[in-house]
Amino acid sequence: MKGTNMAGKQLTFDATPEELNLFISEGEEQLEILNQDILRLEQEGDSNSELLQEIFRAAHTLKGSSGAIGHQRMAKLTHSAETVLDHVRRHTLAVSTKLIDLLLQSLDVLRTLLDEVTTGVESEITIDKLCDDLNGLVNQNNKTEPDPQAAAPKESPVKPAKEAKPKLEDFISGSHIWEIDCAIDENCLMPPGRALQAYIAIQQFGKIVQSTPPADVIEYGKDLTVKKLHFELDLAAQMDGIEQALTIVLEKIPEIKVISCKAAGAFGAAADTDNTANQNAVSCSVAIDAACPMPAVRALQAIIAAGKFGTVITSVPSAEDIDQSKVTAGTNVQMQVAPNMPLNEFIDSLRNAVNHIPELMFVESEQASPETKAVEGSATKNSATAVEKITAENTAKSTAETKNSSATESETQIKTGATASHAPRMVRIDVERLDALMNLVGELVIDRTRLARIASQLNGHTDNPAIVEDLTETSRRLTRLSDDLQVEVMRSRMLPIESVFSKFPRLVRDLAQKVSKHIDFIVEGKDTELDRSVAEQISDPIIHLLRNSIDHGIETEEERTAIGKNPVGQIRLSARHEENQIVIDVEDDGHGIDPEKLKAKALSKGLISSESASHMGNREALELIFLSGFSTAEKISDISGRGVGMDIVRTNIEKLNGSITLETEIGQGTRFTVRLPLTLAIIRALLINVGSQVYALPLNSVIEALRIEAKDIRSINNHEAIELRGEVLPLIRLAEFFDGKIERNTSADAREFIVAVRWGNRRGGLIVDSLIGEQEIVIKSLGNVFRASNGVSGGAVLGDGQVAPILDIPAIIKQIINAERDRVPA
Amino acid sequence: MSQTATQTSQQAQTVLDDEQVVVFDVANEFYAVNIARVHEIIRLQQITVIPGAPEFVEGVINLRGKVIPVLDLRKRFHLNVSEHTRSSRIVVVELSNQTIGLIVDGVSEVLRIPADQVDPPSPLVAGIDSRYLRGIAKLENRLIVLLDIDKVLSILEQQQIEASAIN
Repeated sequence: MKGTNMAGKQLTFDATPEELNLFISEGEEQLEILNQDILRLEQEGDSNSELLQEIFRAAHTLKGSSGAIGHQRMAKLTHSAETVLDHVRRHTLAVSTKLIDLLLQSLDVLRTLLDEVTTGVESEITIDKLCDDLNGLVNQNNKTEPDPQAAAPKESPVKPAKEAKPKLEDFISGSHIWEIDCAIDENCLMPPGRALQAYIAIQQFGKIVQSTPPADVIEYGKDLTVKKLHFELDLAAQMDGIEQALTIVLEKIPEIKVISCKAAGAFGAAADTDNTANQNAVSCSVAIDAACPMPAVRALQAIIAAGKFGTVITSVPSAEDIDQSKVTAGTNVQMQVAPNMPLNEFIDSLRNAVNHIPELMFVESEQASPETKAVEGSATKNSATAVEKITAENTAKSTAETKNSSATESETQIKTGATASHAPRMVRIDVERLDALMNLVGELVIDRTRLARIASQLNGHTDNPAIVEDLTETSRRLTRLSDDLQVEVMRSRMLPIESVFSKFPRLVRDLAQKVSKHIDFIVEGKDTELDRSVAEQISDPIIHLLRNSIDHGIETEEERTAIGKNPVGQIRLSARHEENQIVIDVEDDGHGIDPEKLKAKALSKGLISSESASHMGNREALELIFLSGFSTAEKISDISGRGVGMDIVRTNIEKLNGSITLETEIGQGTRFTVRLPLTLAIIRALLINVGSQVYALPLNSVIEALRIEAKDIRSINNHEAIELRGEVLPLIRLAEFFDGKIERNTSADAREFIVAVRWGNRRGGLIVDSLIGEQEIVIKSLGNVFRASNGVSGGAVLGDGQVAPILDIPAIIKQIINAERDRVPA
Repeated sequence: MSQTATQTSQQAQTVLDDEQVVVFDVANEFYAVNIARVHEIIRLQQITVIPGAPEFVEGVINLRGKVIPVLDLRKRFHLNVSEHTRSSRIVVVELSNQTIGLIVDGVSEVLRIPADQVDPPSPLVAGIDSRYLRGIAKLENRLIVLLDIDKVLSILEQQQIEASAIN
């Protein structure tokens, strides 16, 4: 690190390595959400309040957690961005290109800052300019458009997350104020940082209604000298164990000491009369109809109804959940209510009131016994609340272990607790572990095929047919089980292609801006799932195709207007499943590709001879685009057109056992279609015999297998071919291809097995000795020794333990084409 | 500079130590590979020929689910090629980045070779390419050629690259 400037400064964070990892992965998620949503914001404008909330929440979470680990620069930048977003959310700042640009820039910088956590070294990036620009947006706005809300944003810069809430809490008299007093250590070097951490930590539990020193002082607190902090926290809903959770969360912040943490009597009687109220507390349960289209509203109505006859102490779903519509139809609303009338009267009134609300049904009401409460708290009768309580405790425990972004975590966990039954239960798994699992399944597939083979060999060769039958039966079961296992493992490795596609809107936007074209980018089939290993490798080829479409495909706005097209170009990226393949289309409505131009270009570059150009059909001419060293752009741009494009795309896709084809219509547009197998590890193959050896042909490139009379084989220009449904199918004898030996069966009535294969649009026929059948094979790499082997792409372990070379169909077809081309002029 | 000297002396030291080796014969000559490099010794099994592979690469075998290349040492050393016999074995050795099998005529024994019995390789000895050799051990009445197993393949790979460059 020595020798570099201050940019190489080592960073330390208030977190263990595990917590930092969690922070990084969560941070990446938030940045991804922000990236997508900000692009949506650009398109949809600020009318979608849900979207605005989501953006704001992501930014807020990021700020909270970066503050918690003490990443100052990150917290500062997210804060500036959050302030802008807050204004957008409150419609006091309009969405402009500049605003979006700045936000996207901030995301890029945040990504770099997030990387700092990984490297532990401060990057050279500076954030001050960006923060100023962001703040400038807000300030400028204040000048031109004096808005009482916008004019005083500093008043509550840290807490706006909860601000946009409708006054839901007001309906529920059970909102609670907690008073928290903390002290900052005398020797603390950065009291403002600690104070902010405390603020953020507390904020995760609810809304901070009062803070001394005030939030803005804490936030910008250059001159924060006070060592005592006082907060008044308005809990969204009553929670057991809140005191412990708060204390533990706060005490995890270094140099912060909790002096007191107690319920205040300020708002309503609920917290104050906690004990007395609970003595009379009644558990009520109200069912929401499963078909209810807006369960959150009904849940709210139920709580309001209960509020008429008493004080609602707690509710599940909580006010916050209801506010965020985290309510599922078909579930029950559980409430603890302290009635303000005799119990019987209360139950009758509530039942009456609730049953008058559509889609609601009063289920039960039961008085909580004081004894139970004394021991376990008021929530015991109410299982959901109990979950909440346990979660809060767990949180406290886990916070003790992992102080990481303590507040964020407790927030999510508590929320999860409240909606425990609905939250997806996820586990993060290392990709390597999944790969290992996939390898093991591969081994199992080999062995089960072997077992099936042994069973069939034994059949009829033993005195004890019952055992053979048993073996056959077991082998069948094993086949079924391993099939299921394979499917499950494969599914666990599947990702929605969204993970790949999500970065493209930004890319298209930036590139389009660069070349001053307007492009409407449509993404379809984001949910299509594919194997992780395929997903990782498909991104670059698609980027290349998109770049080509933006740069070469779509015309300039003037050109489009001139020929009467919509000035806004369109690029459509779609994914879908087709049989055992994933099919990705990249389609533009640009000017298409002219095969004649391609020919001329290839000719001028000396890639083809004028002789072959004149023989070339349109389809063949389009294939020229995949030749290496080919670029059709009139001028080389920095987006694409370095002439290394499409051949690399094709090579990379073929490496994945996939294929790429294109269709184009001049003036109408171009569509590239990429086909990929769902997984790279196991494929279906057709096994064939050549000489004494078995070879495997990937089934995705096999069109059909035929048996023909030897006399049907024509010789065209000294090259063997047959006519297959009106098309000429050039043939290659695999035995010759591999050994170079020529042993033609000349007898006229002999028959030949031919496997018709395709590669892109090209077809060829392979003459083989015999067909064995289809089998699932596990692809194994052959290693470097066979790098130079032409015509073999890998090895497959067969059921009998033998290795079969997997034929490299593209290489073989290329060979056929070359042979054809060589012979045509002759 | 003093560091280099230390390294050299350390290397010399390792050579001076006794060495345990697996001895096998190829075309009636004895060869040995350090036992630490030998993964296992297996009977000859059916070898799948990979079209287009270099001549001395016999093909591949399936070693419990792992596909490994198999080299015929007779061909590698440009010795007379003969039919494989019942005593033929595949010596599976670990190289730094991969596992390969070597076909030998037979595996005779595991020996401890005292360091002072090892002479540096001479280009004239044994008639095979001295680049593959680490030394010659004189033991009682026979000579054992110590193979530098990494070179067997690294030189091979080099040739491969050259070959594919020509193509």
